[in-house]
Amino acid sequence: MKRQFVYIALVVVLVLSIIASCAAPAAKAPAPPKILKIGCVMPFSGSASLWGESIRPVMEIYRDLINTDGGWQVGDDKYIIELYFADGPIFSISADAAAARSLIYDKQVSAIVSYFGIGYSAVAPICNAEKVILNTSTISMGTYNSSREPYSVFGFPAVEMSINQAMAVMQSFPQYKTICWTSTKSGNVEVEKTFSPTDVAIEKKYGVKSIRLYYPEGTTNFTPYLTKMAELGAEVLFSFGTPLEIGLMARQRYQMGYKWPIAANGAILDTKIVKGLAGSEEAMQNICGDFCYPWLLKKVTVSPRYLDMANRIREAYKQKYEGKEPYAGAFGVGVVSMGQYLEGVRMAGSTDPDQVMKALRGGPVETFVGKYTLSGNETYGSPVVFGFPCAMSIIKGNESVYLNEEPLWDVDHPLADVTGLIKK
Amino acid sequence: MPPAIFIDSLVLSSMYILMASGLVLVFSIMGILNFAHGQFYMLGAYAIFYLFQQAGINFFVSLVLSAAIVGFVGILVERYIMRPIGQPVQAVVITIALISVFEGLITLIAGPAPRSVTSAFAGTVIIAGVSLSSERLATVIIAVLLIAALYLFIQRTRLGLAMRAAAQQPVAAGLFGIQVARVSTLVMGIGCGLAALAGAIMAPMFYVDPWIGGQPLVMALLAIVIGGMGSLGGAVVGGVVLGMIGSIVAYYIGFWSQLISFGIVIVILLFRPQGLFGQSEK
Amino acid sequence: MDKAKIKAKLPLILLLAFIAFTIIFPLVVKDRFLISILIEAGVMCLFALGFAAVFRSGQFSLGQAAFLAVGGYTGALLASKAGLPFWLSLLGAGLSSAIVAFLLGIVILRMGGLYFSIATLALGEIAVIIAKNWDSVTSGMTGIAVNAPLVEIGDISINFATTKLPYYYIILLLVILAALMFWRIDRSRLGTVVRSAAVAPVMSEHVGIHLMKYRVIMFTLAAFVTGIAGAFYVYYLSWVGPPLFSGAQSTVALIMCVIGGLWSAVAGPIIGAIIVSYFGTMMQIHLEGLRPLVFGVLVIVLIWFMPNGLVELQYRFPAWVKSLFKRKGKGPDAAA
Repeated sequence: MKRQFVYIALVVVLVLSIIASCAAPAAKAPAPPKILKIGCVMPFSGSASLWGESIRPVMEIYRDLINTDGGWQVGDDKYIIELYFADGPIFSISADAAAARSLIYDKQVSAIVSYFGIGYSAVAPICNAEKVILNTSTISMGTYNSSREPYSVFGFPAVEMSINQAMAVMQSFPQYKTICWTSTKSGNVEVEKTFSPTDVAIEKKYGVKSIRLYYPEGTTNFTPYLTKMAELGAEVLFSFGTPLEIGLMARQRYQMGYKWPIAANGAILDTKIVKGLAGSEEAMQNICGDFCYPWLLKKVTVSPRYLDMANRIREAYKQKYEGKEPYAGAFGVGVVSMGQYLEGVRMAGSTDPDQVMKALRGGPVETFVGKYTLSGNETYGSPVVFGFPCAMSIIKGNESVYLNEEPLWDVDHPLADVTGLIKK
Repeated sequence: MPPAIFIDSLVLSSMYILMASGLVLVFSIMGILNFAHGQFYMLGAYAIFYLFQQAGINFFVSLVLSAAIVGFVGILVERYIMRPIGQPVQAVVITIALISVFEGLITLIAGPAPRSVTSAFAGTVIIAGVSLSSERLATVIIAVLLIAALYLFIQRTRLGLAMRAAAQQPVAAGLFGIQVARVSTLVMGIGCGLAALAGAIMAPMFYVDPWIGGQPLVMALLAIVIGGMGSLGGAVVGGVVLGMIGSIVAYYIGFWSQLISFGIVIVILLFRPQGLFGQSEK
Repeated sequence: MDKAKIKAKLPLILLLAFIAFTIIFPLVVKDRFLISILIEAGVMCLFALGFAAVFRSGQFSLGQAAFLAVGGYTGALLASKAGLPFWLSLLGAGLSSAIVAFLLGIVILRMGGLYFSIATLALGEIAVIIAKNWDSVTSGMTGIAVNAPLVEIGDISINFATTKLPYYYIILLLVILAALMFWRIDRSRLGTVVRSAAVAPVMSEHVGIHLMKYRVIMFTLAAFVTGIAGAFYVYYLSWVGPPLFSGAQSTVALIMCVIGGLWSAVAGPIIGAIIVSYFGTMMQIHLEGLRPLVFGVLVIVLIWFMPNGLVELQYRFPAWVKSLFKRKGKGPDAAA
């Protein structure tokens, strides 16, 4: 029986040696000067890969344009930007964490941007331990603790902006008075009581009645819920769901004979893909989503240099990809997230993480989607961006077109807290 | 209960029954649970996408072709991938690995983006003053016809009799002149074909991407446990029960429907492990 | 010391050398990414050992992830709400897992075979559903953050947010302890009885072996180890939440044990866990979308050629080596 161990031990030693010899070259010498390495964890495999694949090319073009201009200005120097992407399939937290580790330990990035997965709690400790700035969405910030995670930035207020997004849509449909908020939600029905004050405030300010209906995670058959919504008098839906859920809801509501507009928290993907999910052109009419293309914004002012760069990105993308428009979500998350970090570096005049965080906290930051203060001190311990455009698109025919805007200016706004996550 | 919910529960039941029946047939041949069964569902959905949606072949013809093609794939898998492995444990692991293989293969060939199959039966239909989705109605009718056809085939034809004999007593059946090997192949093909049909008729109501096989597999497993592991009748019962829970319970209670589905399975395993209609093992 | 004695002791010496190697390894190889992979592999080793233990008692548990979850959440709650120190949290997690397993086991182990497997499958799914929905305890999808330092000795508090190396040694220790425990059990009378109950249940009953008792024992022990693994993993990630315990997790344990070798109680699961874990992660990083296909094909090929697992190599290896020597030398004594 002990023989077992001899041979097993030999095999494992052999394997570990092979591993070590393969891995050793990856332990690099310090990076050559004047290069700024930025990492990005997004889904590139699995069903959410559509997001990653749509956002990556736009970020790469932005990087190329900066480098063509000579680099990003940091103090007296210009830094060349290097972008590294790692696959973080949305529903595997350990894969997200492994992706973050490979970027930080292997590629030695200074920041991880445009992370919109649900694994904040697993990714943040890794980043904060190494003083790597993490610029992510508020979608999974439930465990955020400002003293424990001083290098986390919430550059994209996915949760907070939902009310303003919804009201932007409602204002374009004055004939509809009832909105149904829907998403996956776990058990607690107490949640209904938490939202009543928000719903009352919405009715007071906008004259819109709110219904809330939730479904379990992984639902693909929405018929029972759609039936219920119809009974309760829903006229417009607002969903926090994935493009899949929204597409299915659109398809199934259409098959049942309902034509309600459906507004999404995120940006709508290429309408070809949406048509695939919704089933037909008719079914996908009136699907609304985030649409913050800088050149389309009306109520929010974008600084000339960012507007300029946005148009350059757009042109370069259209040239490279045969006239297609870049994905709106790439501006809502990808490029904006990267830009916020770069702004912080520029304002600090250095790449030192503490200086960058100091610059980002409190001071007005210029971005692709407007200029605003990264604050939220009172509610989050900072920094969370607000002042987001909340520009919405609507699908008319085969295209997504600009619909309306209802900008979010202040996270301390009484209507900003949609899910009760903000701890006051 | 609104009529839409009733129809919905029938739709779900149909899917589960077809999946579960297929799984039972495959189980009777392979002797183990085929965890890759859900992948045949997915392949059937892709088949209908390429045949009906892309190539424009008549819907019903596409259905038959989908079942035949995927059934054939199933036969190949069983003969060349599964049979060389004698031991059941290793065979189960191979079926689990096959899940990744199929998902990966289809991602490579067709891409990860979800595809759509336009409904062959568009619009709504008014019956007794109630507006119902034509697509769902048609799906239920087709499924009922398929299940009835399956039943008739197994109970009333000679081939069906041979199948039942070969499954229960292969040696004796061989002595009676039944070519057990051939019959087994046929059963395997039918089992996988049923999964493909489930995928094909459900596709217009949902979507098609490489990962849609996971959920139907779980539901099929639950269905055969509830109904009774060895029997086709049990698969029907299990499918109906799960369909009702998924739709009716979901409508009234919402998200606890998932828990209830699994809870019922546990209860049955505790008190009547052979399922509602299975034979007592001992 | 004659040659025979050395030869007899050789396995032990090599084993100790191997352990020394794993201890020195991270100090020499500074690649932190590799170390983080090995830490996760260690957790998987414990998980696989647990699965193997249940398997050797004749049962196929496809829901072991449920005990990872129970252990994980218990550990998180003990650490964050009750403020318990590291080792106590781990112990508490293991115990709670064991208790749950015991209570469930005495009911569902009765069923045996296929029914038991499906019951565990259902239990695995139910655990995830509960984790997602029992907001008051598990905080649903948000999960629970754990940021307690691992060790506080007087004034010195080693906060493991800054360095992961101590995790490596702790998991190494845990794996060695668990391996020792299962190996000793396997070699003992208990192990023999368990195996006979697995291989020939009817006959064992005739001989007076109380089947249920042994199945429950192994099931509970496995859950204890798995629970500790879960709690450790949660400390390492600083977070626990439903996505960590998918249904796929449990089947991964099965794959690991089969690849490593099912007929070995300890070596098989450990080797399988390390190899599957390491290559799985490396493929994820380098292959992205192709990973599922490559992984699936590799598993199938491995099973075709080595159905009894990599442990088989130990039997084929010496014969193969001897065959090499035979070609060079002249007779059976040519093997030096």
